[in-house]
Amino acid sequence: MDVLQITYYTVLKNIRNWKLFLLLIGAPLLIFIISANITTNVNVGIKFEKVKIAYLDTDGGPIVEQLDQFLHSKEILTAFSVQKVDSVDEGTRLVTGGKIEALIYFKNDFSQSFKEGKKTNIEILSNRKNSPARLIVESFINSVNASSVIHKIGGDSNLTEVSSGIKQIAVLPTGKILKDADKYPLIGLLEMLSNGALLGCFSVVNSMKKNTLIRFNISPINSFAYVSGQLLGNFLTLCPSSGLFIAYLNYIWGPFMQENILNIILAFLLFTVIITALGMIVGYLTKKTGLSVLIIICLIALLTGAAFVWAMGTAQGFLKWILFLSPQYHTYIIITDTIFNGFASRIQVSLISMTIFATALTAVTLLVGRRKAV
Amino acid sequence: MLVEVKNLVKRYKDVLAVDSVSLTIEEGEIFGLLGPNGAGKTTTINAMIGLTRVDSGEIDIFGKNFKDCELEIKRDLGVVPQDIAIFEDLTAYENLSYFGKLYGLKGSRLKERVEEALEFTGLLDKKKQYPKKFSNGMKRRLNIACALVHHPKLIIMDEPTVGIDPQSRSHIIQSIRKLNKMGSTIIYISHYMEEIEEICTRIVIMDQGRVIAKGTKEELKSLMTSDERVVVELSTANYTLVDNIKKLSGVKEAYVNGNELTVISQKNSKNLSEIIEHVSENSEIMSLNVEKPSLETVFLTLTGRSLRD
Repeated sequence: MDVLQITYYTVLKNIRNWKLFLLLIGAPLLIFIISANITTNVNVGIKFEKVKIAYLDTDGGPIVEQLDQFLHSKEILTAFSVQKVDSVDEGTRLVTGGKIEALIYFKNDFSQSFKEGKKTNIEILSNRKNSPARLIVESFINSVNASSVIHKIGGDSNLTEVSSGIKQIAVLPTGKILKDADKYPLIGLLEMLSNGALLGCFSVVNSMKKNTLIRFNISPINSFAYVSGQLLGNFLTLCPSSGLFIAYLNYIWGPFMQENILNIILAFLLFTVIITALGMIVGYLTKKTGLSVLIIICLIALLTGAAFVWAMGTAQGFLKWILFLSPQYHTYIIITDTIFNGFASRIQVSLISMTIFATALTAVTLLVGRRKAV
Repeated sequence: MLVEVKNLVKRYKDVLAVDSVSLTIEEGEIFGLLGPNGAGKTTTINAMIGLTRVDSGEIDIFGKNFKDCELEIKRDLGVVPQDIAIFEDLTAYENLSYFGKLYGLKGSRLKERVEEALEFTGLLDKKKQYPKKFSNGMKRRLNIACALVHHPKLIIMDEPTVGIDPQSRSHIIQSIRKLNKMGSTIIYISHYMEEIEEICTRIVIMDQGRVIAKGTKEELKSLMTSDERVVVELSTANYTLVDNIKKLSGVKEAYVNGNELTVISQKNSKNLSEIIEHVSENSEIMSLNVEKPSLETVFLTLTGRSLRD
């Protein structure tokens, strides 16, 4: 019998087992939607009353043109309401009248003085002692000085090399920087995806408990064909979850991952093979539902935990040592390094590691799942 | 000879599950394997279908050695496992279709065979239903259908009627007879001696891993001791009657228990009419039962314990 026929019926059975299917596909879908919304809000900022500011350009030089672009960037406009005034009087009247909080004023010799390296001032007229307009101006000056660096690092943790003031302000034209708040759902969703191992496990244990394995053992088919078909069927059942994850990443960090999406797809395919095989191996070895679920949950918690502490920069001791065994860690590396222009060599190492794991675990699955007369 | 098992031995640690079992099964037979739980019946059968690795012995099926031609032999084997082995998330039709494909069936031939197996087991009108909605009897019938879909030459049925209602049991027994008439050889394993006695042409009795008797029903019953037993229910019974009965020719023992008189005579003593005559002179006969040896009594005699112990 064709392996694909066994695969077909395995997928059919998995889908018909709607409770399990909902648990493994429906629940992640819901969590992905919630996480995507939360992550987007964390990055974009929660809606609040915008600070009203104005600026006056009597200089007309290139620096003020840059400020104009800066003030009208998407990130600034989420927190500030910006308007241009035509004279100092108009600006002062708005400030004193409480219509705006601050006026940013460039004198007419600003660009020229800046070009010549002379000291020059940007004046801020504000009705508050500590105006947020001051922060904007400081950030702008820093961004002018360090914009090439910022564009290069793509918002990754190397930002600490630049001044801390820049880090607090969104200065990138598009996309989001990877914040700790993004790491939680990313690792959490990887853990959720890892629970797909339960599908492989249930499929094996149920075939033993419901005696259907006997049908295959007494039929004239090669045992490897049966196990391969089952593995492929379970893998295909879990693929939509990975697809959802990729869609989630695309929704959040789409502009960054367009050119490198194959890396991410490959990582998820390997990850799905690994967790499917892992679940089936545990099922074949334990032959018991409760015990196998316990082992899988603990294993996932351990491997995801290792990836999580690494992501947070607090990996120590035992967890640090098992990092290289964690498919969650490797997937996380591939995702973040691909999206945020990380080290290509690190992506390669993780992809190679995951390929080795996937191959080894598939071989072990075929080995432990083969027909065994006792 | 369709099946030949020679000196099969299987040991599980210190327990000798099968002890030098030898069997031969001819084509067209309904071969019964009878014995209590733990007698070694299922282990013997599991060895014949490749589920158990034996310690020693040879198994030839269809004239081929099982070890050498396992997959080839399995193509013509149909096995009804003791436990129901069907997918509850696939319809009855899909179950048969799946298992049919395992045996290389496809296309219109597969469809034809699936419909045939469903009709044979009386499930054709349920073909689109999921087995989880079936009664236990219907599940058992589907379990049998799964073993028949590829038209096997040899069908092995391991306790196919366990835990089902009399109607389904009767349907299954009739189906087995029908299959046999259609040319299939059947190995029927059970600890229900009534079923074995009803349908099997040849029987092997196993106990504690060994074959303790084999032959046709008649041959097995002839192994019995020569005693015949007559039980008479009377309106009144007295000891004078018992003494008179004991004096009759061939009577070995007679005793009364309440109003029930039991007379044990030697085999072929032909004294039944004399017993009735004596009894009816003294009392009114309410009922009379001549107990002939059954497989149960054969088993009891051979092993010293009941089949269901």
